[in-house]
Amino acid sequence: MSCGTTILLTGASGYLGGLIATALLAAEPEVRILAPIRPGHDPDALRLSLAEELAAGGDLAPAATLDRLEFATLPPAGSILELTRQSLDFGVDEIVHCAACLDYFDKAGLEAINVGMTQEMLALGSSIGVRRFTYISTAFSSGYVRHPIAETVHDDPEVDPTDYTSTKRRAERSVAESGLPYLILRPSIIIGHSGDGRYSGKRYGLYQLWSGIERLLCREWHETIHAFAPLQPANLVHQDAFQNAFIAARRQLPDDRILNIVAAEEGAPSARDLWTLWLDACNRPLRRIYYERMADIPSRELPPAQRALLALASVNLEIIGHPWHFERDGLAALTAKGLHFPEARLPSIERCQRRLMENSAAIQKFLERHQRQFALAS
Amino acid sequence: MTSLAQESVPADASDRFDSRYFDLISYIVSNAIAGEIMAIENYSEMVHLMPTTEAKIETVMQASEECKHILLLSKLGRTLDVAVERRIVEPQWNTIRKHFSAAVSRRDLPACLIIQDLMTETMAILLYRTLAAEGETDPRTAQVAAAILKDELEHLEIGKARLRALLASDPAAVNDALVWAHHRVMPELFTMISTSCHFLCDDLGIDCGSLTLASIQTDIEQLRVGALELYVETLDSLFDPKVTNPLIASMAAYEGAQTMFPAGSTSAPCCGPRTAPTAPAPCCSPEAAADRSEAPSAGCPSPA
Repeated sequence: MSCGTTILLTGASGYLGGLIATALLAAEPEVRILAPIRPGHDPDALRLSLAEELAAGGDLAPAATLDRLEFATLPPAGSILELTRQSLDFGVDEIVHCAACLDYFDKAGLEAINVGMTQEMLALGSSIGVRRFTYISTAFSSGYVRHPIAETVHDDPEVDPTDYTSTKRRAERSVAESGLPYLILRPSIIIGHSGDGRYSGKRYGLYQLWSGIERLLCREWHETIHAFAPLQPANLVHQDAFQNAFIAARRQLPDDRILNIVAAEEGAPSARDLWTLWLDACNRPLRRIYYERMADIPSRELPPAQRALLALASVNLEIIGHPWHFERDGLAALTAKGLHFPEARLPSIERCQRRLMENSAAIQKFLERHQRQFALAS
Repeated sequence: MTSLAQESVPADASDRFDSRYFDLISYIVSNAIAGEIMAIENYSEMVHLMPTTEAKIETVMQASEECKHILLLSKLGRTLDVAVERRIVEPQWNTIRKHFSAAVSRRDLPACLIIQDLMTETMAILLYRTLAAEGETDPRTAQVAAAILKDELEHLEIGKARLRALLASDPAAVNDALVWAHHRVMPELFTMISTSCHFLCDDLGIDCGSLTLASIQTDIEQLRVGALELYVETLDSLFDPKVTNPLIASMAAYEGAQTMFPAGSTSAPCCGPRTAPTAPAPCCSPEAAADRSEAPSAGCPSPA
């Protein structure tokens, strides 16, 4: 292994990048981070957000800890090599590339950021001679395949869920073929902290669905709720599990490895379990009709709000509904060496859900409005 | 067809509605007029694509009705003594016009019908329904809006009938036209469900930051939800959900929609060359500005 102590971290203004920054600063007292961010981001606001995460993790002096992180301005695409001088001056010896375009429907953006910018970052890594290039990819970069998803570079599948997965797969290949020592980490769906349910990201992943229900199904009570809720295990990973796996991987894995940071299938809740968890706690319809396949849903017969939710979340719901099977050899090896990887199970997911509900004015208003009705029903 | 006689309603609104309400009406009516101007231009430009003389006549009549809407809305402004712009100010309308003209240039009638009769009319219906809500707007505004709403509902039905015929003969072409038009026009229409603007408030002499939809008992979120539901309903009446679901899913990434329907794995890139957000106007509210510069989440490879 050849991890460095002076790291150039991209994407620190985002959720995973922020988690990586705080994990590194908390776990490795010698680490210093140079974090290029897009012009327009407020470094003070980002620093505050990172300080909150550090404090939540038990850091009594987060401001001092953050002295080891320096923001820089990210040059526009095509000019990433402009970071060369600054990187050399900072003494960068490792790149952690976390920045990505996540917009499934922005083909140009996906191509430019996920593929183009990764190649530029690799060129930067070569020019400054980093000891390792760590790339944050996605567990779903294989595309839709039926076989177990190995911790190797993927061939092209017959079908990709979106252009996002195909661009991430191509970026992985660029990393693996770059000649630089590398580590590719593939997290699945990241949710809040296993202990207190805190979640500092925007409402992505499972939170998108929760938020969609909050906005669309909590304006009025629905007697019947139709949901695409397959029995497939949903692959969720707590943010602290991701952070622990990131730190363990960079310390313990040899170069040129790929790690699936995914949940164990056994015991993982299904999408149906997640719907039940939510509906029991919030909407409490008289009837819930679950569908195993999207094609079975009588879309046109649904109430407008449910129809809109189904459409808005359709792409992600279809991804959840696919039978993903991930190899976990890497995690198993790290766990054997002491990695603490709290699995996302219904009780810990419920903590994340409760936290979101408690912080949602719309849900609290909905529950208050229907308090009597729910009390009578129960 | 709208009757001009419906205008003669005594204005008794000033006692019940404050200056913020009238600022809001000024803003909404001016934007509505812009939409009507665009509609006239669109209908006029597509006449020669219509396959029959009857259809050409019907299209010209639709344009004519949009003209009357402008007159009605202008008179409403005078009656309420609020400033009203009778020209297109906000750039989104011109962008939609540009896409419409592109469709006309390649003689893509399905795309024209989808842009004007489905998308624009659906948003117009939402707007006029909101303004026509009795008790929440002044009686004159409610009555004018109700009259225009009737026409717009007819226009939507005309468009649907035309598209059904086209779908029957060449479904693939119509589906392609829908995908093309959706990705170009809906982001523009959706950003206009907002109380912030580029230039309009400056032109009207209104403090943009003071506009609030509470004056008409609604809020942006409710309007956006309403727009989404209405659009989905319109699409469902014509198209297969397999075609429309991914289109609706893409709306989660629209500017202004992310606070309401956070975009799942979709989000702005955390870096690099994405289309720069439109420069905010000096009059834009802080909320709107925050919306535009919403910090994206980097490297969150989490579908669902």
